[in-house]
Amino acid sequence: MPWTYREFTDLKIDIVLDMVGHHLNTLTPAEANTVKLETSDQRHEIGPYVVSHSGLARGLVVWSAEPNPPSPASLPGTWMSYTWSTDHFYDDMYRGLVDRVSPDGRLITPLSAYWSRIAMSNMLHGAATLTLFWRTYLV
Amino acid sequence: MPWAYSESTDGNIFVVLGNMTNILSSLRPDQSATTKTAASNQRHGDARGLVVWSTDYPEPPQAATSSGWRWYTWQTDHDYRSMVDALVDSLNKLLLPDGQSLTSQQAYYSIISMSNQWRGQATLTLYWRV
Repeated sequence: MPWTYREFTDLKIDIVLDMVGHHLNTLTPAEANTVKLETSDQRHEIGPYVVSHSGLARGLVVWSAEPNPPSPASLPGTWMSYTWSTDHFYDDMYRGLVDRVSPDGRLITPLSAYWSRIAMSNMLHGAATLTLFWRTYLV
Repeated sequence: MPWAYSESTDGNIFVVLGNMTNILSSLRPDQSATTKTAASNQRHGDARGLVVWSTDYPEPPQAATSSGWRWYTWQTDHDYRSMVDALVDSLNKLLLPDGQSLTSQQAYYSIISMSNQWRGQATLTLYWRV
């Protein structure tokens, strides 16, 4: 099964965080072992009021059903990173993450992909980022 | 050594993400295997990057076989250090502020996410398997 993702959005980050958690509970144990997730928020409040042009809070869950490979905890390696960025096309950013084995020509092995991490950011009226951190193993 | 963290802040998210990569690169292989990462940004505030790791696991615990998840969220308006300290404190004490307990295996395989908003609250959430 390839890597796939699901995004959750709402004006309130608390709702997004719960939706992410409830989705995690729908995954099989094998899928749960592969999970990467991140959240972002674009809410703009002035005092008790939410500004009408606030952006959405977003939650991203990425998973696969790949078999659990041996942990690389004892393997020497080097951390690499690649960042996707978008103003509006979030799905393109997410697909870039799950589709690209080598975003800029660098090879990402299944082992590196399995044990990789993600980080996502967003800001009001600005670009969002989605970063993949992965290790290349010297074996 | 217990769970520890490094936070990177800058007005430019790409500087933060580069700093996170550098922090990760400074870790040993066994420490790298424990890492949790998250980032956030604000239009006029700082972008933030968080790397959490431990040196207590020269060998990783057996992977979880359950499918249930729980989560807990810390929030702050401005006191980011206290928010992150509270997360790491929970990982070290294996105890959440609401009384939920963790095993070391659950702490090892737990995942974090972080959010922030302009002139609003930041969140830091720990998801773990049960």
